[in-house]
Amino acid sequence: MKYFSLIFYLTFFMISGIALADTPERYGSHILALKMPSGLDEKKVNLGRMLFHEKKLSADNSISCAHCHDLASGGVDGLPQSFGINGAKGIINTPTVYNTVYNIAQFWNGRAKTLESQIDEPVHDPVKMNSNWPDIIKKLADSADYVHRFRKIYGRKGLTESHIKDAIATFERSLVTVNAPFDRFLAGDHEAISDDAKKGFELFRSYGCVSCHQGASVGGNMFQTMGVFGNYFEDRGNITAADSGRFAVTGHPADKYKFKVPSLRLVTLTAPYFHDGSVDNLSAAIQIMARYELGREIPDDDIQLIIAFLKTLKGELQGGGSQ
Amino acid sequence: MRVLYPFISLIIVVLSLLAFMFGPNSYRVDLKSYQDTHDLLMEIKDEDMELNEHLLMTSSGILKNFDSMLQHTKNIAVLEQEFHAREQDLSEDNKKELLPLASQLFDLLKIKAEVLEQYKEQYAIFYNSRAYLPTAVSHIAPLLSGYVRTRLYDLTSNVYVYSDDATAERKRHILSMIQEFQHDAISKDARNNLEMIFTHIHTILNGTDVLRTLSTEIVTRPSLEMIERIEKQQEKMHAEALKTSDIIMLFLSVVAILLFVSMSWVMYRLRNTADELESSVAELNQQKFALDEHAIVSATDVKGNITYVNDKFCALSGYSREELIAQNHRILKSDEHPHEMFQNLWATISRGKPWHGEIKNVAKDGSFYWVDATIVPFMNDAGKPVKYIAIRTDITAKKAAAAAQLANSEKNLHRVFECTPIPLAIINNLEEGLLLLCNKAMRDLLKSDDHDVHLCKIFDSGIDPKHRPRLQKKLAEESFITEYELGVKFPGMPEKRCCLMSLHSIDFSKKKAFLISLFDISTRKNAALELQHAKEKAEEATRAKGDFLANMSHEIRTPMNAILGLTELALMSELPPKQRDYLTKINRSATALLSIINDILDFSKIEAGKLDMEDVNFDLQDVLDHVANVIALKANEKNLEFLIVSKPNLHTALIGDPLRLGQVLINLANNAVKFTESGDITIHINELERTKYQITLGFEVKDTGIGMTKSQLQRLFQSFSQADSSTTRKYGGTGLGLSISKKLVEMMGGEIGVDSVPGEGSNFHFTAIFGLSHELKKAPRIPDDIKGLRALIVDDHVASREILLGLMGSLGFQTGEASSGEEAIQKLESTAQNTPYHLVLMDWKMPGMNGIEAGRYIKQQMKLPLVPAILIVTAHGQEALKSESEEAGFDGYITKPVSQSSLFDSIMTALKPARSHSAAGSDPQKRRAHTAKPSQQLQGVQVLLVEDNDINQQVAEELLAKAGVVTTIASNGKEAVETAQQQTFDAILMDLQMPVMDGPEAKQKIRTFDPHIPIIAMTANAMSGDRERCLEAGMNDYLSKPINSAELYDVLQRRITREHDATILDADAAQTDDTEQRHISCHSDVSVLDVKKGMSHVDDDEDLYCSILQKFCDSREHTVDEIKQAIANDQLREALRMAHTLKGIADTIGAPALVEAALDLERVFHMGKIEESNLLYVTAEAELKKAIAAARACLNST
Repeated sequence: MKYFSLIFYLTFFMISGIALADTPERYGSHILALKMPSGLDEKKVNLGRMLFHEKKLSADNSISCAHCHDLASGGVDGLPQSFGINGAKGIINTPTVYNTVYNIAQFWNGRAKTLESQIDEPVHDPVKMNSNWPDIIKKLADSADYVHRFRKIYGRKGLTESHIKDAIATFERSLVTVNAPFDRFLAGDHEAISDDAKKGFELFRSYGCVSCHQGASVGGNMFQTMGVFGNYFEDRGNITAADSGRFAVTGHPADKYKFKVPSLRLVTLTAPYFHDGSVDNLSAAIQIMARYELGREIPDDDIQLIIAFLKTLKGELQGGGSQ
Repeated sequence: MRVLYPFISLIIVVLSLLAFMFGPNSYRVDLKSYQDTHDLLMEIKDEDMELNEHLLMTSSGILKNFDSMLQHTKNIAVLEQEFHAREQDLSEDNKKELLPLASQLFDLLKIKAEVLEQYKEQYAIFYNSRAYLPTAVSHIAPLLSGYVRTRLYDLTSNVYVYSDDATAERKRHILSMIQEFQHDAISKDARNNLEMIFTHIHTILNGTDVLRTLSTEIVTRPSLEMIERIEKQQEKMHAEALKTSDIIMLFLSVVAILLFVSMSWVMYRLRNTADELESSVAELNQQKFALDEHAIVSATDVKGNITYVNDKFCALSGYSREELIAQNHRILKSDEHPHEMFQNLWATISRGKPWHGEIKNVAKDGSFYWVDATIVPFMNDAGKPVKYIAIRTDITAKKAAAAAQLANSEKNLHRVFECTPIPLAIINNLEEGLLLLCNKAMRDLLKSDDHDVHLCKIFDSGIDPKHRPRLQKKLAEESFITEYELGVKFPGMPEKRCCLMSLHSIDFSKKKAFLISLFDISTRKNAALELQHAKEKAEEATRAKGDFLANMSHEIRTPMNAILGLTELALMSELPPKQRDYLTKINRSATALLSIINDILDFSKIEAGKLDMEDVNFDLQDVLDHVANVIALKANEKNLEFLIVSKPNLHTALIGDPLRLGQVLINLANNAVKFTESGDITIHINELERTKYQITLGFEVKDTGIGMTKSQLQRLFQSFSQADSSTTRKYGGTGLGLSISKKLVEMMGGEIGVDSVPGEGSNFHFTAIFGLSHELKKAPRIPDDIKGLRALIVDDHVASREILLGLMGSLGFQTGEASSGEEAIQKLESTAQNTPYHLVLMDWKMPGMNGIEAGRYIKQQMKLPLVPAILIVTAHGQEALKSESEEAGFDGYITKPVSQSSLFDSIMTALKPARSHSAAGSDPQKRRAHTAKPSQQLQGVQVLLVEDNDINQQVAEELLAKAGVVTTIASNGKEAVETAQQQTFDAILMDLQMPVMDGPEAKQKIRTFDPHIPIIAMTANAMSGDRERCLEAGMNDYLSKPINSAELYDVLQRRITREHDATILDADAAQTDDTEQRHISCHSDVSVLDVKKGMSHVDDDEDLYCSILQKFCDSREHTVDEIKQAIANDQLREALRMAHTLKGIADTIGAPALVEAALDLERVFHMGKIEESNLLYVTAEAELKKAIAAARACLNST
């Protein structure tokens, strides 16, 4: 048993060493370049795109997914809370649909583990699409094109709930904002970003932002309490159901006020910020973050530099909304 | 077996199908799910391990983002989903075993993921505070005093150390250091910053602890162990599944092998069948080729239209194939065959049967040819013919040859027909008899060449109309009659001829006709008739000879009866010596004559094959006694010793013919006596062989006579031959005795032979086979007081002594012996004190002191304490001996040869003094008549004499009276039965032929109430078979007339066992003495009534004769009328009996003419020729009248 442990640890360190040697960037960096997921079926992606823009998914055929998740404008609608059919107002800020493939889970509180399961909620939510699958399928079946496409992709069964979800999720997986300037910088293009941005990146690291906002999505891969230092919600006031965060999912008291750390890739496009959409400019958002999450104040100059850095994180958008 | 194979194959196929459906499927699913889940688990394991690894990397600061950990977590989630998706594929067992474990695993992983999230959160916070701490310190440092600043730096470095090496002490130290800053005077702004720094330090301290706890928790979560557990469990289950699957595989393999084997077998069979089919087809082709080569083959459809012909057919018929196909077969038809044949042909083949036959066909050029055809119909499933195949052989040449041969043989046959000497003809029928054809012999017979002769018309009798139906039937059945006899009157012949006709029903020129042959058998017939006549004559002659013999026997015996009887009676009377001498010689001559006659008769019987041996129970001892009685006398006369030597324990109860055995023995012994002048004659009897039912005895008759030469021996047993003719002259005799003996011995199943040395003697020996009788012999009952007594045997003759010793021994005596009188006296003296003898058997004639002298000495001179009884044994039964022995006070005498019974009787008498007197003291007068000495035993015996003939009654009665027998007379069977019922007799003498009721019938009746009484038959018919008939009829014995007194007494003695009182004897003796001599004178013609002869029949008893005559006159006057009446009443038997009785009585009274007449009648009746009796009646009537007249005259004259 001793030998086994010894061998195990030796092996472990060797592997670690090799891994480090091979991809220093992947392991040694806080932020990684975004990559398009491989093996996506182009037909499914296209079908998913059609469905993403299909208003028949809503009860009154008034809104589609894209209604709240405008691909051209960063996958969000730019509102603190979105409006559903008949102008019903949601309770939470709409997160971007981009780069969701790398999220730890979907929704602010992570209640949907997969993109597929995420779809159910907006479809049924009375303040969103207020529909149901049988109706949707019935409506989609009227379209020979859909029927044909589903048949072609999924075979005999064709148009089903799970296939619709699969198509949409596949499409959403393709929504990765690759080729951002910072990514190019990471790849070794020192001219890809400005010196300010470089300074901003250093600040971003040194201030500790990077401790949560890391990885390829620069966030999105973990949950964190809103208000590590200080009480954000008390300071803000007007606490809503949505504020309970992850507690609503797990039921653990410790998970109260915990939210998914959002990706900062398109942060420059997705104001207003936070789950409550309470801040509409980035500087303020950074101030709040520094205060409540990092337990410090950041001077305004530094914030500007950080913003400069954040701007370099935006990659190519679908639907021509790049740059 | 053949039925079983498909069945087995089917089972195998079904089994294999089942196996392939279920076996591998479950196995494959199992394997796949196992593999899938296993792979999943491996992936999960890998992911989990990597997760742990990345966690460690993160905690050690190597890994700076959580993407990879997230990816692993996500991968694990995906894998879990996959696993759950796969759950359904697991077998129930696996589900039960694995799912709880799996859910535990996934719970673990879930918890782990949750903890990981906490770790990430805490790490981010910790990381931030730790990173920020130096910055925060560097910002505040300028605001602080040097001392405080130094302490802050110290605190900071302690915090950093703690974050790497977290000990409780350091933590306390750090916390205490923080406390110290409270007392420092610091600006408000600085204080705020300091407080913030402290907050971060707390965060670091907490974070260090929390992260350590969380990371430990994550890494030590036993997810890997769980996975291994699952793996092991799975492997275990998989191994079990594998085991099951191995079994299934094994089963599958077996099924596969079976399948393979059965398939191979099927393939093999298929191939074999295919080969067979192929070879069959090849063979069929060959056969078809061979058939086409040999035969003419054609095929037609059902209508007879030709569908196929082979080359031979074309060649023979002259038609080409094209001309024949589709033509009807009829184009070949000739007119040779009748329409019926073709009808029959079609009928046969339509029924599906092949048809064979010879057919004459016509070829294209009009020539004919013959074929031997076989037509075979081919039937469809419905049984209807669809086509016909005809196979033919060309037999034209054969037909021609046969025709030629037929013609030739016909020619030959015609020659035979023509040349045969038997007249033959063919006629159209039996009624007309028109001659269709006839041969030369017939033509000669008919004296005509004219064929128009109607043969039947010359038949004299023709065919008997009565016979015609039978003949016709026979002709119809067998188509011929042979040897039918009929008379024919041929032209030119003076008389009709007897011909044998034979008839054969034949076809002549296709018409029914008859072949008739007439064979003249007139000559043959006449010859046969003559032969028949000759044969009848010969048979007649033979019968006559037989009758002659029978009559001769009767005729000779009747006078012999008179001669012997009267001579004996005469010798019993007082006679002057001269007359006695004459009479003695007459008697001897008559006896010799009778013996010669008997020999001749016996010989005749033997020659005629009429001598029958009987099979009756008898005692050999009786026979030997009889032989001794007959021979001893003769031997005695010549002073010869006569001995019979037989083993004492010889089985003497035999089945056979005692008389014939006795005859042989007497014959041989007589010869021995005849040819021996001195010495002795011994009969030895030995048992040679014995089976359960049979005994073979050997007899020897030895003499010390003149003996014979070899050449004499050779002729010895031939008929009419003695040793030589000179011997005949010297010793007399017919020379028949030995040949008769030889025949008799042969008939007794034995053989006879002789050893002889001239001058020394002869030894005749023979064997005979007898049945063993188990009838109890009347063995002498030996009284107990005799047993153990001592007897002395005194005899100079060794053989004789030995016989006596043996006999005495067998009677229970202790014996001693002496060879002379002197020795006997010596022995008696020496044994007197201790073992005295009770009895002495003393031979009379001994050298030196003879028996009388020795006995006298013993009785009178010796003063013995126990005077023994003395019996004189003698071969010489002289009177002198008796008186002498009585004088000497002897106790009795025994005559040699000594038999056990005679010895026993004498001893019993000698040892019982009370009876010895009466036994020994017999009447001296009686003993004078030595020729016929009636035994004392007959004294007072009661005998019933049944005899219809008065004279015979008289003779018998007187003879019996002389022996002291009390006689009661019955005239016929009926009277006899009545008398026997009223009175008890010792014996019955029964004549056989009697009126009213004959002998055999009477015997039957008497036997019903007295089954044991001895009945002795008497008959004058001494011809063959009489004796046998008598004994068969249940008679005890038999006497032939003329009645010989010795025989009479002998027979009676043998049959009567009763003992008598002496008183009867005395009374009888007195009566005998009263006999007077009376004289009867008669002057009649001796041919009518010969008084002398008649008197001789009654022992010259005048009174008796007169009474007989009287009875004759009284009762026989109407006899002839009675006979006539009987004949008229068709009572031939009655008539025969009356004639016989008449003859008998006529004989007794001495009326030869009447005897002759009666005999004629009897003969005629016997032959059944009643029509010839008319003349005889007249003669008989006349002779009867004459005889009665003479008898009356005679009676009147006295």
